[in-house]
Amino acid sequence: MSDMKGAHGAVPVAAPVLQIDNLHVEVRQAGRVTPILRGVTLSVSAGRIHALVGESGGGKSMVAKAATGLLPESAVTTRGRIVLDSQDVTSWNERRWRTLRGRTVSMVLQDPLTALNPVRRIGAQMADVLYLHQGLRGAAVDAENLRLLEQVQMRDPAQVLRQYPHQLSGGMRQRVVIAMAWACRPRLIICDEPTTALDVTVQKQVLRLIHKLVGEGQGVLMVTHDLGVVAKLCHSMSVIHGGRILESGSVQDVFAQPQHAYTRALLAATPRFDRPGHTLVPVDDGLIEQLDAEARAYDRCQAVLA
Amino acid sequence: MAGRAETRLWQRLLRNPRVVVGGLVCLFMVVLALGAPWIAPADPQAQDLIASFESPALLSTPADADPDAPRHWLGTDNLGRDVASRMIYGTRIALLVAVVAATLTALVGSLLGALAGFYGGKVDAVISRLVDVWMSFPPVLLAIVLVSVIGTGLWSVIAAIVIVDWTRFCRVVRAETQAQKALDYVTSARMLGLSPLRILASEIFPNVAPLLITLVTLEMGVAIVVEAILSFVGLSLASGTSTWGGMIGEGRLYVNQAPWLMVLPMLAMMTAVLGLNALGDGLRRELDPVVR
Amino acid sequence: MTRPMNPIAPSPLLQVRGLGLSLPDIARKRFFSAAPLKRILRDVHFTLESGATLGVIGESGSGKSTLARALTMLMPPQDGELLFQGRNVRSFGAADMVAYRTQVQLVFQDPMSALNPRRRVRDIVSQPLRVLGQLARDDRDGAHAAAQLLERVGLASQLGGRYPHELSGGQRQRVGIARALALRPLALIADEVTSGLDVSAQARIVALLEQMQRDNGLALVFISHDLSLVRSLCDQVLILREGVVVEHGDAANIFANPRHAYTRELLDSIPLPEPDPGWLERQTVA
Repeated sequence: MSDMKGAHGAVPVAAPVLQIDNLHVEVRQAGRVTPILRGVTLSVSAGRIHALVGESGGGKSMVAKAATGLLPESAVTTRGRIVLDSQDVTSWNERRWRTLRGRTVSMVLQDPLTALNPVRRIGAQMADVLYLHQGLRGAAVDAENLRLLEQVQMRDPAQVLRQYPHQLSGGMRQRVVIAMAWACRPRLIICDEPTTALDVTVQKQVLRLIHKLVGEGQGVLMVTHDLGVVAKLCHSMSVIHGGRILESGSVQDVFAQPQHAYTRALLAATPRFDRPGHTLVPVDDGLIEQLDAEARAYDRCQAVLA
Repeated sequence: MAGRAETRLWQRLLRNPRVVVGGLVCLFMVVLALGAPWIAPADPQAQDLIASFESPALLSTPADADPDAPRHWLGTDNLGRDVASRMIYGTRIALLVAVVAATLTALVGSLLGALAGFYGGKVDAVISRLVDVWMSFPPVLLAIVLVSVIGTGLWSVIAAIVIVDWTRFCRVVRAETQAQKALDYVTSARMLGLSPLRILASEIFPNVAPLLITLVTLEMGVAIVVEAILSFVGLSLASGTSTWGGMIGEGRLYVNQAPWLMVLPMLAMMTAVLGLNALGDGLRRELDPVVR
Repeated sequence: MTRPMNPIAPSPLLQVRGLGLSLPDIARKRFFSAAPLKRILRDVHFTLESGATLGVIGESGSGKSTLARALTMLMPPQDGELLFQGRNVRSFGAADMVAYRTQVQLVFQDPMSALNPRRRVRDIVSQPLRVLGQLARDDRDGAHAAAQLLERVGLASQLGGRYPHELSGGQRQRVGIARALALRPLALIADEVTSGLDVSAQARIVALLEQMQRDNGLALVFISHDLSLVRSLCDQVLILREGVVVEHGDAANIFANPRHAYTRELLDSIPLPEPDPGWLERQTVA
């Protein structure tokens, strides 16, 4: 959102790949209503990687799901809108979402082992994606598969295509998932903790790969709780807690001068290899309580306004 | 503290529709079974050839019926026996077989399955091969051969069910025990020096129990149906005794003249099995802390 | 039967010399013969003094979890020496082994499987005391002991009445630690206890372990793939790669002057929370 900061209108800004405005989502279950997203606003620009940072339960996975139309049945959007590739998808149904998924928006998930079907060969799974979205068959599929695997720097792609997921290492599986996500050159790629389950040396390779693959008109939404990944890979970021965006801006600015106490708390709790003596400070319970109280107050205001 | 948790359990059970409906059906059956001598309107064995094939009084009363003659609410069969009374006495057999056979099957099968799953190695090899061989016999044939050898009677029927079905419990419990054993909490228990039997009983059993509840209620349903099959074939109890299966078998011959003779016991069986399954499912949902 | 406070344990607490462990490689098993053995750990050496902290760093396939199990004899090693207070652990009988395992406790990585899902937290935490008959006379069901243990790890004692799935990941991990502390061990082996947790939960666990070390003189073997955490917690470090020790010694030394190329590669890969666009492409000269 603050990618535009400092542009001062000098550079014509293309429409963002993803624009979420004031999104309110609540879960209605067993007679109870629980707000899970409270006025979320963020945008992902073309050619940029935007981080959504927060802890578990903060709502970041829900934002990812909203942007792919995968919110659970019980979740209802009450206010705000989502604009994906200049289309307002806020109240789209499943049938319309299916036209977008894979082609316009795709996801890279945390656990590559469960993201891939364990009983089918890699080549077959990738062929599915290509057939579904591009109608490719036969020799064209094989050629495209090889090209995609080469793009993700897979050694010996021909061999990999014939293998099953369990025969590949974690890093290789994640590359396959990335290849499939980029296969149809979607406008938005959502990465949900893509490197959390990987070894640190492999993580660097995968991050480098993602950085390289972001093409001209593409944007990446990186959902993570790892501030190191955010710092090294992403251009801009939003910090989320309790379904509210507490701070956002360019990565440089936020790390240099974090405005919100929660952002500062997260930084203080992150272990720093270059400062071994630095004591890790867990996020203060008082701060969490205060944020929760603010969220409840926000809900009351919303109820009055509605 | 425990007292409060207890009342909450009862309240929860009563609020679960499966438990309530299933429970009522089972309670109804138990009442019928226990109170048969007092509830049944007539002696189930009493034959009255003149009043044979009377249609159920619930549906219609012939205009020229003798008001002094006993009313047969569910009609009479080919020998003039009161269908309602026969069905009520049949509930006794059905419940007895269901409860006893299912419990014994569960005990034998689960015990062997738990041992195989926990100890592995040779113990598992022997038990698993035994199960494989056993399961290769066609079940109904096995039951029929067994009953032909032992002779008919209630206990033969129960023995037949146990002998055929224990393998089902064994396989499932073995798999679940193996799965639980691989988890770290069992490793912790072993490191404390707990004996295998104690680990099985206090650590693994609570985690296998929800599965067992479901299996036992399913097995009760199976037992009722198997008893009916054996009665149908004439291999169950003496033909005089009222059993649902026997009634279906006899009723089959008169299905055109007196369809109620076959339909009513079938409905009874269906209700019983559904009620048991509902109760089992509801209990599992309420008792399992993880599902809650 | 109350135990006295830990007497000063004779150091070194644990000595490992030439430890080797192989497991059957089922993937390469032929039809009628036994599966060939695959070496998981080879020639591992280290010494753990009482009250010291040793970080074990390794990536997947390094054998670090196997090492944790070898140290507690869950997977007995085939080669080498394992000495506890000078005594040979590999030759312990059943009674000695139980005593050894009460003094060297293992905390597992995945709290969801490490805690019995159908037992309440207070029963889980007091179980070791109950099994070994160490509960006070007036505390038959261990509720009091459980409350104390929960408080030691920073959890409200009311959480004792809950089931594991009703707690957060960080809370479950602390329950696992509370259970490990029940028998007042001399050493704790923490196998990836912070993986998968949020930074805040991680920070709490690390602070807790540091406190245990300070207050009780607890020795700690901290197994992790997170070098930053290891650096902030441990004075000694052991780097494992494919079952072999690549570097071993004082943490500050090794991190400042890594000798092995693998160590340098690991250090290179740590993303510090400092914006640095050039980091991705950069690689220090091997």
